[in-house]
Amino acid sequence: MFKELDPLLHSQLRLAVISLLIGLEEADFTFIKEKTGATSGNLSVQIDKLEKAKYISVVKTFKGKRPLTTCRITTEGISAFEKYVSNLKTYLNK
Amino acid sequence: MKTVESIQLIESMILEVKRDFSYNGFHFLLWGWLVMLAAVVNYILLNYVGYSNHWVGWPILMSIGGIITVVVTLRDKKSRRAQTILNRVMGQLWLTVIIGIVVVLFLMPQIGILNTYPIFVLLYGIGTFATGRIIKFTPLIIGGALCFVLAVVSAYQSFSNQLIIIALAILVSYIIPGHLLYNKYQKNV
Repeated sequence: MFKELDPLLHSQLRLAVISLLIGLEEADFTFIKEKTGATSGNLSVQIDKLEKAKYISVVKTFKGKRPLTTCRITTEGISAFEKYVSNLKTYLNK
Repeated sequence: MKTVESIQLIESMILEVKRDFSYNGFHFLLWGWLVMLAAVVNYILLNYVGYSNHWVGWPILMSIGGIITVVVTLRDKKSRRAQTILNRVMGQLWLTVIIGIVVVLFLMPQIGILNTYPIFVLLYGIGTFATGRIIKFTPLIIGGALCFVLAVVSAYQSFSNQLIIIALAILVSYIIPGHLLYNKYQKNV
């Protein structure tokens, strides 16, 4: 039986962001941008969606004079990712 | 997005993180060679030169190591754009070991130099063994375990022999595993 995949995670960039953050304690916006190869605009939008869903927490500060956006995965985000991977397996076993 | 693409994407991102944060063994090599050099210099000055301040290499070489470590750590911290839990755990573990070494230095006048070096070897062992267990790297686990044995052995030796034992301990716990870590890192990058 196929299990439904979380639409919030079943999107290339959002899944890439969550997959990066799952292995990290925290990461800067520039790090995520470099690793995912996304544009700043698109990444901002997707990070905002993940934050609204409480899958990640975002803290905006300054490093010197430059703005610094730091993201970390939340426990809800970890659960959602684990559920997504587990549901993904139901498609692979068929 | 197809399910296979999802799996590939997750895998590639996890590998990116793994590659970026694999440790090159820099601190083990730096401190390994510095402590080895300090112990050997001390042994030579004590046994072959007969210099009364035979310990002079320690403060000089350890200060050099301290300065290099602080500079490298600050530089890394400044350029760091992401942090793994593992990196933070390792940082805190070694900070604890360093504090332990400083505490023992303050104890030295009271407990005597002959009782001090075995404690240093024990502290090297604690840091190395725990690191090996945490990052699952057998050469560090073996090096750390050997330090535990050498700590006991050195407690029953003369000061001159303790210097040889400390050099041996640093060889098995820092230098050899440090080079193996470096080789592993070079292969992975």
